[in-house]
Amino acid sequence: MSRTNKRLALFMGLAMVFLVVLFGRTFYVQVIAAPALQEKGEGQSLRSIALEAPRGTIYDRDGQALAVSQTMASVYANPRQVDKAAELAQMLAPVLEVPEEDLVEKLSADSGFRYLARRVEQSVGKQVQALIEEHDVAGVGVCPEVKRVYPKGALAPQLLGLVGGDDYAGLAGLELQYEDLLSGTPGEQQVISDLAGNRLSTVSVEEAQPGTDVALTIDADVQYETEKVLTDVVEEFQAVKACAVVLDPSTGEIIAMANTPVFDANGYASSDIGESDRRNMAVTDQYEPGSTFKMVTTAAALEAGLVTPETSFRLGKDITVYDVTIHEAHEEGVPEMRDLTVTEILAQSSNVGTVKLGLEVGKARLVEMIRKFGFTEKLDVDFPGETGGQMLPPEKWSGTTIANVPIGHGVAVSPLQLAAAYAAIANDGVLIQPHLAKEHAEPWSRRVVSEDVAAQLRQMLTVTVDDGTGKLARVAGYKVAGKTGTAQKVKEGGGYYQDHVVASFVGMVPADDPRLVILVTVDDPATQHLGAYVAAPAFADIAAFSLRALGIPPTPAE
Amino acid sequence: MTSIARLAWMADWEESVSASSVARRSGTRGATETRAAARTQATGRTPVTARVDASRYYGREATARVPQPTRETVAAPRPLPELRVVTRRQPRWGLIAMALVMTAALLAACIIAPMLIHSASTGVESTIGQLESQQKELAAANSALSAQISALSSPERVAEQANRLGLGPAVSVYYVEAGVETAAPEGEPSTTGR
Repeated sequence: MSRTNKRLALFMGLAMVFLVVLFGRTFYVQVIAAPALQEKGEGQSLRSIALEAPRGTIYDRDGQALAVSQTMASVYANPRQVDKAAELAQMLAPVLEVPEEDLVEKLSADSGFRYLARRVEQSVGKQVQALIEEHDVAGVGVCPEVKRVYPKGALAPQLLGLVGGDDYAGLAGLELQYEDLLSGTPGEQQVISDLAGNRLSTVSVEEAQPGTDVALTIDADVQYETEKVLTDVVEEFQAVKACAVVLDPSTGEIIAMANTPVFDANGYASSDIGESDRRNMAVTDQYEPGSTFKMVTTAAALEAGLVTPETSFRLGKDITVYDVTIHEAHEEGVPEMRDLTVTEILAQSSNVGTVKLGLEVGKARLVEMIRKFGFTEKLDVDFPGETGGQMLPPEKWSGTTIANVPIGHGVAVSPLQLAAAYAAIANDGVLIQPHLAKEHAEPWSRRVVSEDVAAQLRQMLTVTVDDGTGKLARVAGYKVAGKTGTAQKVKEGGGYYQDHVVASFVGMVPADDPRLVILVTVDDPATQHLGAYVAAPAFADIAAFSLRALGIPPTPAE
Repeated sequence: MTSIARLAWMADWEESVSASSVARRSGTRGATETRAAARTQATGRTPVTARVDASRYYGREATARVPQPTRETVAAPRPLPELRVVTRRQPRWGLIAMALVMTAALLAACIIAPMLIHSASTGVESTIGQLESQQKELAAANSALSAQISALSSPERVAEQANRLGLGPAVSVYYVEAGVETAAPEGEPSTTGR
């Protein structure tokens, strides 16, 4: 073999070896190690992007936004990458409006991640971003975060509730009640990106399902006025707190549900707000209704056909049932014996007369009527933490219970239950489930008393306002029907306080064709106890505003 | 002898050289080639191919042998291949052009097109990313504006502004009763728009 041929053969041999090695390596990469390499490659280039589902907005009945989600900026740091914590803190503190020492502590932490400020304004985020770029700061970044904002500020904070926690979900109030609707479903996007993070292609997209908006039955203007009136009442009578409910009796829609103290809904979680102040006491609290409950006893008597509004009773200054003696609330000027019709008993809020009526009605009928009005069960209103009423089981009633229950003692109801009961009278005897959301499932309804009895009761309650204890509840231009109530508060260990009461007024307007039912309860007013003086004027103020705001025409003059 | 004279002499000498008889005889070489080759082989000398008239130089006629190229002897001459007339093939330019185009197209399909597609898709992805971030920014701005509108129309602010303008709730309200006989009928043209 010539020398040239030898060289050629050597070259060919080396080329073959190279090709074999090359093919071997290719086979290894493409077949044997392929799955692992693919996984590794995807791990480096494939990334998942969470697509946030925008939380639904809560609107009032006129479409005014009460709770909206707003994209804010959050500033975070990786303390392990931060070089000069003190210098950086000094630079960021005035922008973030966070104490410098707090920032130093966070920036010096032995951690890979710390929030420096969460959900600040976008403008603040941009300022921080500009500082980062200008000073080439390492270990600090800005990211978007959604914040729940209550743009009306101090409006219905107890009603709207709170959003929070790691998943920023509803924790209280309507935010909690409609969490499933409002939250939506987050999506996910898988993209392939290069080393610099630039997106090269989209592998898959699972679109986020935005939360559903919730339209409430609440009217923001009426709500505001109601809260304002309650705040004034609490201040004027130095009460502990107060609540009010404004209902549309024909639909069960709650037009306003107010509590004091009124605070900025954006500061719901603030430590300055007491736990009891965060409660929507109209739904979650119960109290002994006192005289406002006399309507139930009267309704039972009328429904049973035992009396008519004109039926007269001869009454003394007090009445004794077994070992309990019931007195009139206002004994001054009350004669030893007097004749009062059922209408007058209700109008003058006579304890003695109502107990007598209760004795006429009897336990069974009274219990039945209490149950019909829904005082022994929850109304299933669309608000979390609803309390049902409380009543001693009939089999456990003592001989004196029949003397207490007719005048609203020995039973406990929520303000909303009492308002709903009066709404049934306003609605020709049909009780409609109260609700807060317009798109609520079809509210249930049931007849409580006959149409005639409801009409009789409305007329009797009109007399209460015109000539009885509720004169201060009158509204110019409108006929008002209602009932005052002053109930002594129950002691923790049993018995009643002498000086601590719940003053209330519940009524309907216009009385002939009620469009609104309004309940006001004032907890423990210090300077005046009687509901007629504490709650009735508040009712009148709320009613006057609501009637005008809702465009309800005045009662035609007779 | 001067160099000029010598050159003239040399030229004359060159002109006087004439072919020898042997050379003249071998004019027709084709016929006598075999014999000449045989003689050369026998005598070991090359045949005289030229005879120089050198009497002027040597004083007598002399002969000189002109060197001839050595020719290999072919024992038995191979038969010559049958020759034929072959015309030169013209290049097929169309085919070449097509091949070039096909090759370019193949290259484009295999290398350039994927690059272009990839580049385009990357560009589209980048645009999508930009549009998505733009959408997020606009949504954020929208929500901020919604919140701002809601805040500006809040009853508390409206009441404040009203108070600032000296407006407030009516101290007393009086409703005017319109009698049936004085009320304009619905749709009455004379009252429409009042």
